[in-house]
Amino acid sequence: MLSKTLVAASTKPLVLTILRNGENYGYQIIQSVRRISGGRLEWSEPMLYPLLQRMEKDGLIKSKWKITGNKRLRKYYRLTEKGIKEQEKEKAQWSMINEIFGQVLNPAITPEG
Amino acid sequence: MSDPSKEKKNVPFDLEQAIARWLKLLRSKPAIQDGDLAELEGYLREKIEDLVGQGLSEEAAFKAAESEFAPGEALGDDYFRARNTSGFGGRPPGQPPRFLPALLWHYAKIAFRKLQRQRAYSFINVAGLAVGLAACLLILLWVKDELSYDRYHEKANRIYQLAMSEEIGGASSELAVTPFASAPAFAAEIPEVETYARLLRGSPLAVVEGRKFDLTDIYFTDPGFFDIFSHAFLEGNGQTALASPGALVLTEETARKLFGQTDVLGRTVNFNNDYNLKVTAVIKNVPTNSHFQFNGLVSLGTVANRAEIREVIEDWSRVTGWVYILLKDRADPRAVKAKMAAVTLKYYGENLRQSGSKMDFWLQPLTDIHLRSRLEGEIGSTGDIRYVYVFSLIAAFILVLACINFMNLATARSAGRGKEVGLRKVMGVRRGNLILQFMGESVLLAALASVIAVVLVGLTLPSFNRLAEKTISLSSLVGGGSILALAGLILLTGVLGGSYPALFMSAFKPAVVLKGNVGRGVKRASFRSILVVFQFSISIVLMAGTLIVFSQTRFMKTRDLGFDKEQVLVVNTRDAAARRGAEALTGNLKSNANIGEVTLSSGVPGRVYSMLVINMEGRPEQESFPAWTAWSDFDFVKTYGITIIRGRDFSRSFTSDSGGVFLINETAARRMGWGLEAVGRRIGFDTDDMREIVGIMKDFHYHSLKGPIEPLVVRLSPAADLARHAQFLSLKLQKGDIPATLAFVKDKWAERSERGFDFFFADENFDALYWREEQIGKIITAFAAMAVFVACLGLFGLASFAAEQRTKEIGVRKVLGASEAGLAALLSKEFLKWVLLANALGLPTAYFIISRYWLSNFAYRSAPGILIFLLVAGLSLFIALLTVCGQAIRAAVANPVDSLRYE
Repeated sequence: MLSKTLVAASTKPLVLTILRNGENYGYQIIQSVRRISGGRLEWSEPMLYPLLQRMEKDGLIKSKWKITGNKRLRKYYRLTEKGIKEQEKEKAQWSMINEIFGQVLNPAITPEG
Repeated sequence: MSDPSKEKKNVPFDLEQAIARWLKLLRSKPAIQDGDLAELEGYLREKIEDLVGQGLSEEAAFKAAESEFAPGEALGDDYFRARNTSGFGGRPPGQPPRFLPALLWHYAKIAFRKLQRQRAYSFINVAGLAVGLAACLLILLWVKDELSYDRYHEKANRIYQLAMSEEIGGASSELAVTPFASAPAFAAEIPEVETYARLLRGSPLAVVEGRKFDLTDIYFTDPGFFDIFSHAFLEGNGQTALASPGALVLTEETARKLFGQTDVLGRTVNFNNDYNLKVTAVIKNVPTNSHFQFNGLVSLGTVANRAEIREVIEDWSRVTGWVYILLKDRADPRAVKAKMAAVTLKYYGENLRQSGSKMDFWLQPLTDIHLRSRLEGEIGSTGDIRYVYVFSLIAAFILVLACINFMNLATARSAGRGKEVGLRKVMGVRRGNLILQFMGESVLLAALASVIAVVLVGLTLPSFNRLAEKTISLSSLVGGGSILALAGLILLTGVLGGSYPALFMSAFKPAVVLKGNVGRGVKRASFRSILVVFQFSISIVLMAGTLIVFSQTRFMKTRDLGFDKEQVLVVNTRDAAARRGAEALTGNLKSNANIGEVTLSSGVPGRVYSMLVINMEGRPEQESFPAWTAWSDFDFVKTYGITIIRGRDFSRSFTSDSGGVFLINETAARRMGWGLEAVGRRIGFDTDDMREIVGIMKDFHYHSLKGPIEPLVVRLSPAADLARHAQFLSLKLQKGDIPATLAFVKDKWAERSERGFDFFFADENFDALYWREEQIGKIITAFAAMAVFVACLGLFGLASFAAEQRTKEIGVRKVLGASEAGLAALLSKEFLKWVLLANALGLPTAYFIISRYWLSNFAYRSAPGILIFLLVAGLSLFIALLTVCGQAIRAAVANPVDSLRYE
């Protein structure tokens, strides 16, 4: 299980990244996360929706109501220009962290090595 | 998704209903908007569909999906936070703003219309509050003034009054007057003492360019006076004003009296045809909130070298006058007290040991003198901190009364606003807004009332000042924190007054209210009656208090004092020279047929000031005790109609008397341990001058009835001595033309003395001892009246409201044959029941509080009779009846056709 802080920190970049692949709606986003993570990452909507709200307010994403086939309302989210930039920034940061972790964990390039 | 309606019959679980319930739960969270809700619902449904697709039952699927919301309580908060981390305000976005400026005018309009619509109620509301606030403000002004005493001195926190505890022959007293000899000794030996000022009071005859003025409250003092006390100089300055002998400092008023102007530096004033003084400074009049007042100051050095003064001020055993001490910064008065004890021992210890007496000096802070001093012989009349507390309490009570009224009426009126509340709620107004609206209205009314209250205070302040003997100005209401306090008071009153109706009304359920069957105010009658009972209880306590204060003062004024105080004229002979050969004067006076006995004495009942240690022959010095002392000629007992119970009065036929013999009172005889056998024994102020006791006087009150009768000795004085001591010339007037007799005495006096004719009547003089009680009585009466008025306004409002509420009932009763009198009684009965209850609560409280905390101050007191309580009960019922009756009768005589037709 991932630590709570890490989940919280990673949610936003993950949502941004998922939306990078095209507009999506809440339920689908949660499903995607579960599928991609192989069930290791379980999001609940009480945590997602307020985040979406927040991101929309910050201008990272835009939402739009759509009527689906079975006449159900769905709110679709897509990235804005600012959201795309944010996603790239976040991605770079996570890559960097990842890289640092790789270096620290790789004995070949530790100072002693 | 399957159609839920199909499963309705056999399966108890209904998905749609479950979802609806779930939505309802979420909807109650203000932060979740409708859009959020739709989104969440969509999520929930999709999840359920998925789960059902996986083979779960609808019920299990719903539960599983819903369980994700288990921390759903926090969901609203999450939404709220998501939207609110930036920007201002803590208001969830789903909610309209608490305060829309655009609606301000609307609210004002509604408030104003409400006022107009219900003029009578509004009047009662505003008037009650205004009177209550005015009373409260007046009391606060009074309290503020009482608390401000002596605080205007820059060094107030370092100034102390030298006080002395003295124990002679087992009797102890705490005095504000001390031996002058002590001050220089303390200043020399105790480093903490920065400087001191001794004050000796005089009432000289001033002569300026041949014109004569009787001056009072002139103090002889040390140069340190102006280092200690802060006074504003018009002419001269504090360094030089009292530096040299012969210096005279005048107040502005005295300067104008003597010279007609204040630019009088260097002018000469003669005192008592004895010595000349030069004006060295003119200061502003002493502020009224000073614990002592003076008209002028003379440097003590002027007289300090005269033998007779010197003898007094250098003697540790002579209690001379008042001493003020300025301590250095951060000096500890308790440490100084210990050092003073050491100094006393050093200078005077030997004498104390010999006489077996004790003498302890301590320091009373200047700012405590007015309200907290319990010393005898204070320099001026003092206040009493207890009255400050009592009055503050009364102020709080009256304010609470007015607030209760306000709440009461506003709540009663709420009936009429139920629909308004319902409608507003239907239109989406939230409870908080309603509360704000009602609070706002109430604060508005309170503000209106306070404007009226300030006007009322302005109008009544002059009479209040007369009553309380103060010179408070309305401007002190404006000064400093007062405006803030006032604003706070208004806000508090408004919020307090508006809180109950605001909370009560805002809780109305729109559906019920709009149907029109809630908020007729009947349900809350019990709550309101409790408030009425409370109000009346307070009023009753105040009324009973007033009556008890009056009965006690009356008791003290009418009690048989043991001597005949009627028609005794007393002339205050301030001129020692004029008293020489007073025998001739008395003889002269007696030639007037309207004048009976005449006596010269050093004290008269009500004004016996000196206390001396009495030594008894054949008894050790340790048994000596202090007794009140008066010197008189032969006719003191006759003039005042005092009864001799053993022995005889002073008599000219006993030649031995003229050497100086004693009369003592019963208490003194008991104190001496001889009882009635004291006659014939010898006592004296000096062990080498013992004189016979010729008679015992029946105890009579020569001091206020506040204290018990204490030992008194009267010594017959030779004429020469008398001229020195005897300040008072008492004349027993026969029935007849008193003004003419008075004029006659005045003429005779003028022949002998240049001093003005200063006189009083013994009975008035005695009554004057109770001026403070009377004054307090009057003030309490005024405020009790206000409290009763406020309580009655409240009752009146409720009565008329109740009558209105029951219009229809009364109509029906009338149609069914109820009599008008019966109806009026029916309506009044309920209120009278409450007032009776209030009596049952208020009277014992009043009895307890007053007998315990006030009456206990008096050695002689009238037990508050049952009559007083019956009177209060009767009065309160009568007032209540009067208040309620009008409304009841009006309702009762109304034509039932009108009341029943009206729908």
